[in-house]
Amino acid sequence: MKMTRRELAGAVAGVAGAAVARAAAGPDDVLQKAIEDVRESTAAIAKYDLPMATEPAFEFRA
Amino acid sequence: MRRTFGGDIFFAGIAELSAGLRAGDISAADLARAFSERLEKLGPRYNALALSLRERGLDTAGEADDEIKRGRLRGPLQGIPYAAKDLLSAAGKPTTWGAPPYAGQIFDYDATPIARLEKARAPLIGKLAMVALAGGCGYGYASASMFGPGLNPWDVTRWSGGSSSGPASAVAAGLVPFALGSETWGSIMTPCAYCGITGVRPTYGLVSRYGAMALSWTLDKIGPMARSAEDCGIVLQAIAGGDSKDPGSAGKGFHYVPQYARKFEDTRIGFAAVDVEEWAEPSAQPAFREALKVLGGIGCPMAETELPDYPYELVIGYIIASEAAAVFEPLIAGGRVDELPDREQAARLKAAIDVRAKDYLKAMRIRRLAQDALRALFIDFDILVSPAMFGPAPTVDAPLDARPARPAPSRRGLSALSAAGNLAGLPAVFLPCGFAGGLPVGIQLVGRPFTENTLLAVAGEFQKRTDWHKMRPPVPSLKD
Repeated sequence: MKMTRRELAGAVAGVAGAAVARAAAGPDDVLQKAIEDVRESTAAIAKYDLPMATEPAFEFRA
Repeated sequence: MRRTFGGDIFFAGIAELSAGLRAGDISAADLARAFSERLEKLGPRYNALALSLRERGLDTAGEADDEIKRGRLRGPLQGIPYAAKDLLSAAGKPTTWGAPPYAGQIFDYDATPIARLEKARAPLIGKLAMVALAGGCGYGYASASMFGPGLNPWDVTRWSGGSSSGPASAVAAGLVPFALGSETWGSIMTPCAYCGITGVRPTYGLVSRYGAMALSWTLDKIGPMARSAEDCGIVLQAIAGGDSKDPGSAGKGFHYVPQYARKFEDTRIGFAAVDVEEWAEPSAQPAFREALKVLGGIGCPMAETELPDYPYELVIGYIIASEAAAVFEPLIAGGRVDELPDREQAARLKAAIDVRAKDYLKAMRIRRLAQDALRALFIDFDILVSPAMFGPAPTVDAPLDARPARPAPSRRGLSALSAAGNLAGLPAVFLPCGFAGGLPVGIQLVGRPFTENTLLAVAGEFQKRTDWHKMRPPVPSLKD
C-alpha cells in the first residue's frame, strides 16, 4: 500500500486545532485520544503491504 | 605570556583549553571550580541543572593536574570538565531520568560513556536536566520534565528543545565545554538546532548505552553536544568503542581523523530544495539557502534527491511506543506513570501497553525495507543534508504539535530525514547555520553507518567558513 507522507502524518499526530481542544480536555479524554491514536497507527501499519519474506529489523545492526 | 582563551575561557574550544592546561596557564582544578560555579549559578536560570557534582569533578581534576605535572598525558580531554544528561548513571548519585517516580534512584556504577571519560580524566561536574523518560511516547508541552521546561539561553521565553534540554542550554550558555546527550528520535538534533550548538548522533551501536536509561533498545544512541564539530569529534573518540555490557554494541571504535576522510570533491551531497522553500518556515529559509551555498562552495558535488517513499515517522513512533511501553511496564502497571509532569505522555504510555507483538513486528519489517531503500540511496550520495528543524524554537508554553498554517508542501523531499536516519541507525552531525528572528537554526548532515569522520570533516570545513557556531547568547554575569 502506498500512503503519502501527509496521510501518514495525519495518522501519527494531531494538528494545531486538536492541540487547542486538548488543552481543555479532561484526563479521560486525553487517555481516550491516546488510545485512538495507537489504534489509528496500528491500522495504518496493518494496511502496509509487505513481501512475505521480509524479516523484521530484529537484532538490529546498522 | 599566559593564554587569554579568546577573551572568554567559558567559550573556548577543547583544544585551546587542553593547550592551556598543558602549558600551565590554568589548572584542571581551577577550570573545574570555575565551570562548577557557573553551572550552579546560571544552570537553574535555564532549568538546565539536575545535580551539581562539583566534588567528584574536583577529585578528577586533581588527578588530572597531578598527571599533567608528571608528564602522564592521556589525551585532549584530560582536565576538561563536562556534564551529562541525567539519563546516564554516575555511581552513588541520583539519576532521575527527569521523572518524579525515579527521583530517588541511585546506581552504584558509572555508565560506560562516563567511565570512559573518567579514564580520560575529564571531570564530571554535573548532571543535566532532560524531558521525562527522554520524552518516551511523545509529550504535549515543554514542561514535560521534573526540572521544568528547558529554557533557551538565546531567549528564555523560548524552549531549549528536548529531550536533551539541559545539555543544550548548558553548552550554549558556556556552563560546560561539552556535554553528553542521547537521541532516540531527535533528542540531540532538536536542542542543538534550537540552542545553536553542534552535536553528533553516532551510528547505532558505536557508543555503549550501558548505564543509560533504555527508552527503545533498537533506537537509543548516546552522543556529544559541544560548540564545534572538532570538539564533538574529540569527545566521540573518547566515548566510542565496543562494550560487552551493551547488547547493541557494534564492537567498533572511532578515531577522529577528519583529515583522512573522503576528499570533498568526491563527497556527494544530496539535498531537496523543497525542504528549504516549502517545508521550512519563511523566517528560516534565508539561513538554509545560505547553508546550502556554503556546502556547495566547499567543493562537494551537490544534487537534488528525495527520500524513498516509506512511512518513516509512523514506523519510528510505533516502534518507540511499543518498546517504551515494554521498558516502563512496571511504571505503567503500578500507576506511578500518572506522576509524570505531562499528562499526554502518561496517557500515551498507557495506551501503548496494548500494542500487539504482530503489529510491532510489522513495524520492524517495514523498517527493514526502509533501511534497504536508504542503503540504495546512499549508493549515489555520501551525505544527505536537510534543515535540522524547520524553524526556530517555539515559545515555552506552546503545544508541541502545533503547526503553522501554511500550504502543504508539494513533495516530501528529505523532510523525514530525522525519522529515516534514526530508523536506519545512521550517524548525523547537527550544526548551526544562522538565525531566524534572533533565534538559532541549524542543519543536519546524515551519512552511511560509521562515516562520522566524513560528516565531521564537512561540518568542520563548514565551520571554518562560517561563524555561526561562535555566536554567544546574552548570558548574564555571575554577579547579576
